[in-house]
Amino acid sequence: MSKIEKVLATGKTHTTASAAGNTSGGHNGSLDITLSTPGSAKPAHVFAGTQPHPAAEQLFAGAWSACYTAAVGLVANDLNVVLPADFSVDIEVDLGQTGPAYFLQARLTLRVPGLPHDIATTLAHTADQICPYSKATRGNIDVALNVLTV
Amino acid sequence: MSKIEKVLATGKTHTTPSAAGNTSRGHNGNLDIVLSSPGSAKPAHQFSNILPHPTAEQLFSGAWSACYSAAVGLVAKELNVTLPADTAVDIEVDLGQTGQAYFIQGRLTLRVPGLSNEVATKLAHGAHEICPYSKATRGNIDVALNVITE
Repeated sequence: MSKIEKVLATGKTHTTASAAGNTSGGHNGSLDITLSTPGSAKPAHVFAGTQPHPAAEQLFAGAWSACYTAAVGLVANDLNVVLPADFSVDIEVDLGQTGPAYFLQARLTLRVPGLPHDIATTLAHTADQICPYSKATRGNIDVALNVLTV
Repeated sequence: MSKIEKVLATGKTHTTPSAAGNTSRGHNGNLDIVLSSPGSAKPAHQFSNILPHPTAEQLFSGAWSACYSAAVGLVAKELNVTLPADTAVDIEVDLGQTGQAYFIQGRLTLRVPGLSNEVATKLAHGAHEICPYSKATRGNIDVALNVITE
C-alpha cells in the first residue's frame, strides 16, 4: 500500500437515510442522486440492509471507468498507439454474497475496434496496473479484463 | 480475498471519451452524468489525462456511502442500538499522486447525534468490517474512520 503524497482532487458525498430512499448529494451540486431500491425478485428481507443497489455499483463502475478510460489513454500515448475514435470501456460491478458476507467483483471490457488483439490486451492490462481504482481493489476483489477489437 | 457465490445486483456503465467530457451511462437510465473537469489551480497538463475528477471520486464515495450507511444500520440492529433520525455519513475520497503513480484514499465520518462515543465508534468500526466497499479497498488504500456524536 502506497501513501498519497499529494492530493489532486477530492470527491465528497453526504448520505442520509430516509423512507423515500437514500440520497447521495455531491458537495458541488453536480451529483445529487436518489439511490434506487433493487427491484429484485428476491424476498425483500434479503435486501433489507442493502437497498441502495445497484445504484451504488453503477456509481463505483462510473468512477472506475472514468479513471480506467483515462489510464488507457495514458498507456496508448506511452506506446505510441493511436486509439480509435470509437474506443470505449464497459465496466460491470457485482455486489455479491458469500455466506452472510457481502463482496464485490468486476468485469472490465476495453473495446478498441481495428487494433491488433495483442496491442489491445497490452493496453487493457497496463491500464489496470496504473488505474488508481484498480490499485485500490487489487487482491481484494475478483476482476476480469476483456478486450474487443471489432 | 473471498469468491462471490451469489450475485445480488450489478451496476453497469458505458464510458466514452468526447471533446465535451467523458460520459458514464447507467444501463437503466438512472445514471447519466457528464464527468466534470477538475477546475484545479494546478497546471492543466498535469490533469490532461485525468479530466474526469473529482466526479469519479464523488461517484465512488457515493457508492461507498450507500453501502456503509446500510452497514451501519445492520450493525445498529445487531447491537440493539436505535439510530438517531438525523444519522448521516460523510465520505471524502481523494485522488492523489505519489511520484508518477495515482492513488486514492478515503475518510469516513459517521454522525450519530446523541449516542455515546463508545457506541458510535463500535458502529463505525463494525460497519467498516462488513461493508463490501471497505473490504474491496482494505489494505490497499488509506482509510480514516471518524465519529461525531453531537
